Amino acid sequence: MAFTPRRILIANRGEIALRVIRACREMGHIPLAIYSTADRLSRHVSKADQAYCVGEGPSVHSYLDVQKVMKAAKEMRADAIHPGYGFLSEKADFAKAVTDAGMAFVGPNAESIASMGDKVMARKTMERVGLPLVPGTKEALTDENEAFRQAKDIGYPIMIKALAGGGGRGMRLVPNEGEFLNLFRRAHSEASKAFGDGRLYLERYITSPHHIEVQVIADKFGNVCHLFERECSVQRRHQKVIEESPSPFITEASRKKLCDAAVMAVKQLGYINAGTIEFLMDENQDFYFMEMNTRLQVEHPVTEWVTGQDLVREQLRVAFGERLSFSQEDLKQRGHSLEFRICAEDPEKFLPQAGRINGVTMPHGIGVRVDTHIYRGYEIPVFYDSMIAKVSVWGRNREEAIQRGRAALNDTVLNGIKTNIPLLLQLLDNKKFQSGDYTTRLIGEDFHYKDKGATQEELRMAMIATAVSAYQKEYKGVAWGSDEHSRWRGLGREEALR
Amino acid sequence: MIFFLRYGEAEHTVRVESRNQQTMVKFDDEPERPVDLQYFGNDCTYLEDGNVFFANVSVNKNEATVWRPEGMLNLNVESEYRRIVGMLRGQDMASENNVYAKMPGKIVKIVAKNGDQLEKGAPLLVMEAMKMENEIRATAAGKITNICVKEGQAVETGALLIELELGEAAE
Repeated sequence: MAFTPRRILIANRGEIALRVIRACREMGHIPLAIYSTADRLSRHVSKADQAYCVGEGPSVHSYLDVQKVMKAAKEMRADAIHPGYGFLSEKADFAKAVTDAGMAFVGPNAESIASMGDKVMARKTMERVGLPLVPGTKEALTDENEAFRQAKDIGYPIMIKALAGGGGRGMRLVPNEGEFLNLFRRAHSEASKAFGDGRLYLERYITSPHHIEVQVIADKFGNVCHLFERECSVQRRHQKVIEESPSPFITEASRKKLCDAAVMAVKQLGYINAGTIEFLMDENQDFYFMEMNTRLQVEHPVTEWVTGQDLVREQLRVAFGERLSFSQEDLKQRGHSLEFRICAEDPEKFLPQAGRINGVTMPHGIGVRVDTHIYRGYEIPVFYDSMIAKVSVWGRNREEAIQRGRAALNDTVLNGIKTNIPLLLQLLDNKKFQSGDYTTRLIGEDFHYKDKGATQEELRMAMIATAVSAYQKEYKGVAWGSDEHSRWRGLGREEALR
Repeated sequence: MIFFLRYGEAEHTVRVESRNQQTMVKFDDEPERPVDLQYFGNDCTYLEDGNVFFANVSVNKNEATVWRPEGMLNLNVESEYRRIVGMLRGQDMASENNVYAKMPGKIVKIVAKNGDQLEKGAPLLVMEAMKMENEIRATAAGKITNICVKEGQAVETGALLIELELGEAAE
């Protein structure tokens, strides 16, 4: 079959838009971008062949507005839409609108998204196809008194989750009965605002779990493959910080059981395209279905590193009705990969930071990959996620990957905003992390970030460098040898302008 | 030109001069010496006795940030001229107790009340920024003298949120 170049609209922004654009370029497809007014200077706009403004900065007025995105797709005559992650990627209505308009949706069909997007329905469906579940509510909850009663039956500690949830929003851990109502209300308010859907559900909280997920992909010919697991237990506020593949915790036998279960579930669901089944695993390596993400994941690079496969490329192939380019037998886990999410945030309080990036240098070298949309002078908009880059590394084994990760992070210069790089570096030095036997309780229990401050020598060097920079700035643009020059006069003029 | 640099509590004096195309630096009471310090954009490579110090330095008015992998150092830099002008105008460099918005966002909930005597770390208000709800806490013990925002209000970076009068909480 001859290759047909397609016009692919990427309904996203940031690093993931660039990631998809890159795959389009490699394959010979034509990438089309959408952007909000706050993203006019974003890299994904400059890298696409065409770009269309879909509205104001806040995502509800732009990236989350199905009608505007569809209008952009029609104007730019798109053949297909790749939703990336977040935004509209798991909105069944959007997938339906895309296919109704005669375009290909690069993801599963609307029914699959709907069945997994409603977390209560997903639990029922997965129970039916034979995946074990964590005890929890069977129905969606809005009434706090009813929720309180059900919580009593399930037993504390309990996790409150948003039905439309994702990214840790609308999620609260309730340690005991006394705090239930307060936290339930807070989760309800956060979920209503973040997703426009305040419905919640409850789950028993497994005290020390591993968060392990299996990457799957399927084509319409019934080929279903898993691309092994990712361990995502390094989390803060239920958001992933470091991901790795393979998991350093599970045995070969558990790995096989887990991956086979995922493939079996996907086959029975008739699911097509890429997806991820997330599991909680306890210390006995018993696993429970948590949720299924019907899209590409942020952390897909670690899977690409160890399998050598390009997931976005396969997603596009499958979306255009082609076969997967590999079979299960072709897939092997080779070496070890780690991914670090670089976020613009205070590493101590996890407070997101907006602002301008004054200096950027990204790491290079063997086994180092950087996915980012930022550049020097880039202004981080307040409307979107605080993740500004992903640095992922590959090593022949976990120890080498850790060493490589440490060197890469040390090479990552990001000035002007606070980032979590100091925290990531300290995590790599943490004994529990290094042992590989860590759970989602690592941050907060076995690991505490400490601002190490600066040594006297460092401070001295930093101050001299700063003073020289300030000195050069003061004299910039001044004609040397001119008698006119007086700092006093200059300062007077500057002050008068205020 | 003399610069006063502050990191936390500590203040140091750095004198920088250009002589015969050499940058001469005197740090506090150390003897003056030529430095081999090159800038390309904000990237600074400073060689001293053969040792390399690489940093990314960004100076904006009085504030400087020096990047290194262990984290960013926030320095305050003031030239002698500015200090003198400031003193003449009666500006004080004393630290600020009031609570300001560190980034733009929306006030979701105000927890503290006017007149409250608070411990350090006590919750003041909940602010939504970048799609997350964040609790803003008192940076020092003290008494609230004024709450400057309302629930539901959108605020810009640097907006005054709460005025605080320093003092130990009652035992």
